[in-house]
Amino acid sequence: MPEQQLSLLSLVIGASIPVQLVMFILLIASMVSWLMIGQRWWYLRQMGIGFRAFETTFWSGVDLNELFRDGSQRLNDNESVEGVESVFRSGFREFNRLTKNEGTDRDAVMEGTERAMRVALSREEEKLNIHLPFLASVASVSPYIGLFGTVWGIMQSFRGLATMQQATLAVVAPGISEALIATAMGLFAAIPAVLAYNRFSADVDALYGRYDTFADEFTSILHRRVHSG
Amino acid sequence: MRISKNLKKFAVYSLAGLFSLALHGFAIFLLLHGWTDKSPDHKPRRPHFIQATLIQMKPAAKAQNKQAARKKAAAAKKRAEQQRQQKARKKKEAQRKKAERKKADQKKARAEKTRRDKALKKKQAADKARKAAEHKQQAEREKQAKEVQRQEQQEELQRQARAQALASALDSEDEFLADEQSMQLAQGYSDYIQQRIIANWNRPLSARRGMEAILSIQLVPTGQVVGVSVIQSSGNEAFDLSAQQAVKKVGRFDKLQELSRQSPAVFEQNFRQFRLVFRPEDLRL
Repeated sequence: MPEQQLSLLSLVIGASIPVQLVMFILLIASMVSWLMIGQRWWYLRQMGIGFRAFETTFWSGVDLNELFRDGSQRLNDNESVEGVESVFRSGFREFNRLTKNEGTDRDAVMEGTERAMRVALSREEEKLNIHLPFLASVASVSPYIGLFGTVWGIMQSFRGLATMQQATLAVVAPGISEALIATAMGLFAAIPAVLAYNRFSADVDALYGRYDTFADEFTSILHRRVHSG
Repeated sequence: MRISKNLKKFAVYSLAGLFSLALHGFAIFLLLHGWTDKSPDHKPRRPHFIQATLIQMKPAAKAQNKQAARKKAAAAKKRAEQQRQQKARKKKEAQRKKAERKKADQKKARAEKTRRDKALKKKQAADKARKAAEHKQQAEREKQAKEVQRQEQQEELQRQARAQALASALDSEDEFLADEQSMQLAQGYSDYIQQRIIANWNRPLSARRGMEAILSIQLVPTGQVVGVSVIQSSGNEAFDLSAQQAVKKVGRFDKLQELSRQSPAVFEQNFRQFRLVFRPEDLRL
């Protein structure tokens, strides 16, 4: 080294094995959580856009059979049909199937339809919530992991201090600095994860609420159709 | 858009993964560079130890004695020079004396010659004249003798003075050498004092490099500290106080007792009352 500096790289390389392990775990956690954040952000955005688009077509007075056929067409093309549209499709399919059988009780038809939509809704909720538990775990655990690394590093540097004749700051400072990197990394991983988790779970709640509302509205439309017909 | 469902999912994941990688790479790059550029000089300084094992009664063999030897050599040279000068002076004096005597002889011879000439010329000159001449001559001779004596006396005096000066010079040189020896002795003890105080010094957190407090310390021959006072404050009260505390904590410098028994003069001169500069040099701040 041309100039003796306490560079970050030399600190990380010079750290003890447990501290290095902690740093590695935190780095991986941070990278994976950012991957999840990116994926979730994109997915929730798509779902939001898809919901608005579907709602517009749904209330535009289009024929429901037409709408259902359009979705089937897309499924055949190997495109995804997700979100509120799949709720609509499962409800509508069940409704058609039950009304085809003559003599089925009206209430039984509505009950079957509602059940089918509930199942689809919970499937969608599951899809919306993928990866969010991971973000929550990173958010809550990585500060502790970092703290563990720091405590370990400081323990080591104080143990080294015990053999010194004269205790000065210069003896312990590099060890503490090195140990504190672990906490910094833990916070670096945790803060975005916390923010993303809060944001995404709020988004998921909102979206799920809108799905639910849509399901209720659709049920009432079908109800009207059953009882008028 | 005829992208299959799975492919799309995969594309989303890999894009997110790339984004994550790029973000972390950027963060690490920023840290590595920003860190090394900003931190100016974090050279891990070795702790400030003082070895004070050199409590010595004689001047050490080589390195420390070098200066003394050089001084001694210089002194010897000076002495030789003095002697040489003195010799030269003596020689010159002797020459001068010889020349004077010769001159006097010549004068006498001449006077005699004139007298003889006169006698020859005025063979039977008056007794009076001859007597007068004789008187004159005698007076002159006496005068000459007196002068010679006086010169000799003077010379003797001068020589004595010179000898005295030389002796006093030698004395002062001896004194100087003794001084140096005692200084070395004192140095060993002051290193000891310094070590004891450093071992008992707890600096406050507010101590910074560049602070300097000067304390005056009074000891009695047993090595007991009887007085500590701040002569020049560092500007930081906690720092001054810590320095005072360090001296008070030591309380008694045991080794100084032997020093005061061995050479009370050195003790009186160096340790009865002395100043100590407190300066935290090993701090990084």
